[in-house]
Amino acid sequence: MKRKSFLIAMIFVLSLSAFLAACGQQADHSSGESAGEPVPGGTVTLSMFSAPKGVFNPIFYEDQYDWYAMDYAFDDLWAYDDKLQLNVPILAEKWEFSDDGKVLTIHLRKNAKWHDGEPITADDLIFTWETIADPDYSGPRYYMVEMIKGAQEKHEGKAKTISGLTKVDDHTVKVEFEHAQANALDNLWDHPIPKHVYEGVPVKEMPNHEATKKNPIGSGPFKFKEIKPNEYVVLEKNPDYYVEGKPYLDQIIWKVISQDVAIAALQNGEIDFLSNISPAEFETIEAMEHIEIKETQYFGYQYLGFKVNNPKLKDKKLRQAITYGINRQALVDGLLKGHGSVLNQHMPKASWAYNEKLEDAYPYDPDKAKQLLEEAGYKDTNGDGFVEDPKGKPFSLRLDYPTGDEIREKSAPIIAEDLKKIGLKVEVAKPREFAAHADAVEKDKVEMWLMGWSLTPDPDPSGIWLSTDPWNYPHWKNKKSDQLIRDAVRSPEAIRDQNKRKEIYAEWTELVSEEAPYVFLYSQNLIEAWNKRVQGVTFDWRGAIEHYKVTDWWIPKDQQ
Amino acid sequence: MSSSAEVILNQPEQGPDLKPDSKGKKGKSPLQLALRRFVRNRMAVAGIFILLAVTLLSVCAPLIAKHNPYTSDLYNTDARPDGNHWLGTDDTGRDAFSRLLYGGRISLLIGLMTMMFTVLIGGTLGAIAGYYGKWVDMIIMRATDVLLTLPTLLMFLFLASILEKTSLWVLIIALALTSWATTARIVRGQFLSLREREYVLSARAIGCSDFRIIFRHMIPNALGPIIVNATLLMAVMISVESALSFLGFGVPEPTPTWGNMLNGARNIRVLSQQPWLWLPPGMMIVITVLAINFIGDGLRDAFDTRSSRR
Amino acid sequence: MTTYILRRLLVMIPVLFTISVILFTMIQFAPGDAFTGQLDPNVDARYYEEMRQRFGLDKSPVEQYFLWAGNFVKGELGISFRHKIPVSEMISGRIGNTFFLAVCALILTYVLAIPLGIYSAQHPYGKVDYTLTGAAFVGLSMPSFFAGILLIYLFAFKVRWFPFSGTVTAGAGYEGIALWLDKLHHVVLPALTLAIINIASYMRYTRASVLEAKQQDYVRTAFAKGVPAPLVLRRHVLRNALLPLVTLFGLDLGLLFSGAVITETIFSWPGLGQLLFEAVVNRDYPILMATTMLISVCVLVGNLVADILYGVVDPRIRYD
Repeated sequence: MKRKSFLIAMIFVLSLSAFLAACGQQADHSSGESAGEPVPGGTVTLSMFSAPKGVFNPIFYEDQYDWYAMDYAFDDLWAYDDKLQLNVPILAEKWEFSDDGKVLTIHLRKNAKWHDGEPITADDLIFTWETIADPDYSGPRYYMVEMIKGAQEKHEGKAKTISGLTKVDDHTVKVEFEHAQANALDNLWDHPIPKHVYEGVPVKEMPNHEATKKNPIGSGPFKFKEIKPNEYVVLEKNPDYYVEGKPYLDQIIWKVISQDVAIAALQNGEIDFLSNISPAEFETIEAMEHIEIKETQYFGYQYLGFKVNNPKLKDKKLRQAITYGINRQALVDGLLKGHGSVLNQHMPKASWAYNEKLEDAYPYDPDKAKQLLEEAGYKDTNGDGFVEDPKGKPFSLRLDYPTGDEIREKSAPIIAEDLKKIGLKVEVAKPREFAAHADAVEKDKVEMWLMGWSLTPDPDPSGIWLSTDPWNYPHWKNKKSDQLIRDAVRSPEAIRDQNKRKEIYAEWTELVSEEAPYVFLYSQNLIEAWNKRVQGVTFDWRGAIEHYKVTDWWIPKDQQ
Repeated sequence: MSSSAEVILNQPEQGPDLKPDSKGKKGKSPLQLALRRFVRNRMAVAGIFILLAVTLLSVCAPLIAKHNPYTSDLYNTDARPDGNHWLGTDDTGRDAFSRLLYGGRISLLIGLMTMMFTVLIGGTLGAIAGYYGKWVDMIIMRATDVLLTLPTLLMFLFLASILEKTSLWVLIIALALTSWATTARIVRGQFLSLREREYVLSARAIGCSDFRIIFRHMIPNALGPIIVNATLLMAVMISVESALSFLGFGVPEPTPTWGNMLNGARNIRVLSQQPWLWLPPGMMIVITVLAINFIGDGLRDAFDTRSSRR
Repeated sequence: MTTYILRRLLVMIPVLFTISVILFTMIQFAPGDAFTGQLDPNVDARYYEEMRQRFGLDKSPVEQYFLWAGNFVKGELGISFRHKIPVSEMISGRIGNTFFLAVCALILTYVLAIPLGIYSAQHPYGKVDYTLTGAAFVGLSMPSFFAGILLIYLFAFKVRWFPFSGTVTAGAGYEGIALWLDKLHHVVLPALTLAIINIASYMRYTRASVLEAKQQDYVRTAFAKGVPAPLVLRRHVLRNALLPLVTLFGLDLGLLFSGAVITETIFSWPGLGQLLFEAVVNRDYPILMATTMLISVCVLVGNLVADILYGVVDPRIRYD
């Protein structure tokens, strides 16, 4: 039984990779060159810039570095493939939706075990969701459970359990959602925690429980061996992993190393992997013969936002003019040294929802910008080089930006210079430290500001773009946009057919582009590098470190 | 870094000058004698010249620099030094040489201003504490304790948020507020011991006002460590600005200072492969600090009648 | 003297109280709170509101202060807003490292600065003296991050004598003596970085102080009496010249604890400095308050020690 499901999984994965390799992708996703057959053994050291806080429990962690440390120790139910489709089975063997899209049946793999030998069952899954919906739950994941029918009631303390969850048998669970949604699977929390460990522990105390801090029991290919708080985490091979023969590596060490010295450490071999490399270092690392370096578009972007509700910025033509007037390609070429791309929409290129039509929208065109300004009534009537507003009064805008991202900081004066060339007077405010900046943006103390967003594989823009969202900082309220966003997720056509969903998003991105509540500036590349002695590394849209195929990494015998 | 050791390196005070000078005239005023001694100190004079030269370079920056230190050239970043850019360009294509010259202005300004504010506030409060002692001393010293423990960073944030920005003057004020405590302790220590001197006791017996005693009799004698402290402060402040840039709280882009140019060296690649970007500002800092310290040493020796040199 | 000490100790309480109030006020003025900077578009904004409520951030500042103070006095340091971990745990994990680093830095300072300073003073204005003085100035004007990076570049990268980061070797599992050796191996570079400025200034003070002492009348008397030079050095010169440094020790101890952010960052040395810095940036006031209180106590005690020693050193000082 074990062999058969493993075989099926392997064939599935292999055919998928073959299919994708044949199609070709914009992002580099090749495996490392194989120098022979994988052999077991060896230790790989990865590095992170900041120390994990020690909350090694998937439902409670909030620090990204906690996630890095426990990623390999906690498996998901399913994972995204190279094309951002959620169809790689991990802990879940298979799953299907009912015809009306409201009920999801999950079939768990039967041979998966927790690190302490206990089997992973439907009870664990249900327990995990119930914990998140508990009123005492203090983590941020509730939104990934609230779509389950009955979760709201439990969260408010009106019910003891979630009515929408049904245990069919030890390895099968039925989940009923409040509404059918196209992205139900993307948004459903899929990292189970062991019930037999946490059962009986009051939810309030779980973040501080021993199992969270010192002795995490997970389900992944690696398990926790040693935790030195604030310094490193040592993970060792899980010999009982349900994929036989894998993982190959004996140990994975996550070390904390400051960004300033990490590259030297990589060169010296003190660490094997480095992620989030800044573009300026690319050439230096590329020149290192024993280091492999790859890049892909980062899932996120930097933007310049307009407070659309500010009378100064109400005119769409003004905002469009500004978009034409900023030389975004130069920012990519100069500041990012080409390791990035201009973006024109709230979707990364790797996403299936990416709208190719907008690829070349708003090319840098200062003449067009000036023309638009004139059309909107902004003319330079007194010959001082700057336009006045339609009423003839002197006109200037202020640009606010935060510290914390060197490239973004450097871009602010450059953007102001670009806008000066089309006749717009822009006052660049002194930067604030990030939390202060976020506060100012939230409280509408700014006119134009710089900030960024990171994206998820699910293209649903709600949360930021709906008229009602608190994170809709520009206060851009557009009924059509709201309708499209909702339709893309709730309409039956979108749920049934991803292409239909893509069409809706195409319409939406074009609407946003036309209305220009943001100037989408650029998307920096995710650059990762690793020592060539580590073979079998898969690098795709999510990079290499966050890839579930860590099980394939191996080191030749003579370099272990 | 504290310098209360300076307090204990007691400078003997000046009494009336009884030594007739070699030309047989009557004794000159202590100030004139100090000046003469200063001028004879070669290192101190060298220090003055160096400082003048550096200041001149910075002031004349617009005349010497060929390029605007703020203009980026995104298509010529990280360039090596050549005829056009004597020190190459930084990572946004700005001319490093112009930035070096203009950066001097800010760094020197920071050093000077911070030093002045610190000495003013710290000196006055320290003098009052040392002279009056008892409760006044207690209160002021506890105030310095409070200030010494408050996290400097938080002070910066606090000031920056009140004034709604991070700027040069915020930096200067914040630095001064966090540094006056050490100066105050030094001055207070000096005053505590000077208070018991005969001439002070006699001045009080005569009925001199406290103000007169403090400013006319005690401060001139306490000057030694104060001056040394001031020069050290000025030097350290220039370097502290660099540290603050490292943490993200220094003078913000695109204004150049020697400190934030030196910050480029935090990256090992820049350190090893682009020394022309950080070595010049680093050297300028060292030279300026050296000059200021020589001047300070010279001043201290000049005011000290009893120490014999060589 | 004893009354003075007792008075100082009593005064510490209102001082600590004042510090806590000022600190708390400053935090309130800083824009944003522990949850502002966290912009995760996937997380419902409601979550942050709920968290604010749970931690009492929606109450008035005065109420919040007394809540905190009440708990603090009982010994409950609170829970970090950002990380939901008890503050005492976060501090205890790091305080050992900071202490170890500080002590090693101090030892390095004394071991290097004093002999070098004395040598300088014994052979003033010679080649060695000028070299050392020059080096001292370079050290004084070098910001600590620069010293740190330079040291790493030279001694960890170019020649692999020392490690890049951390307090111990990851995954090696040393115990006992091997563990301590490993720790010492790791602390050298960061301690040196931290100590450079102090070494430079202590060396200068020692030199000046010894030079000064050598010119005193009692030294000339000793020589006139025929006391051999080394004995003069030891008994008269050094005793008087080195006393000032003892008082410096008291003051620096407190500052060393909090001033090491940069060194800790570069060497990934988990200490209190970094904790404090992060807490400021994250507006995590439980950590801020608790750590600052801790450092305040250290600084206050250090100052008291310094003042006492100062009074002992110079009998002319009287504390009324």
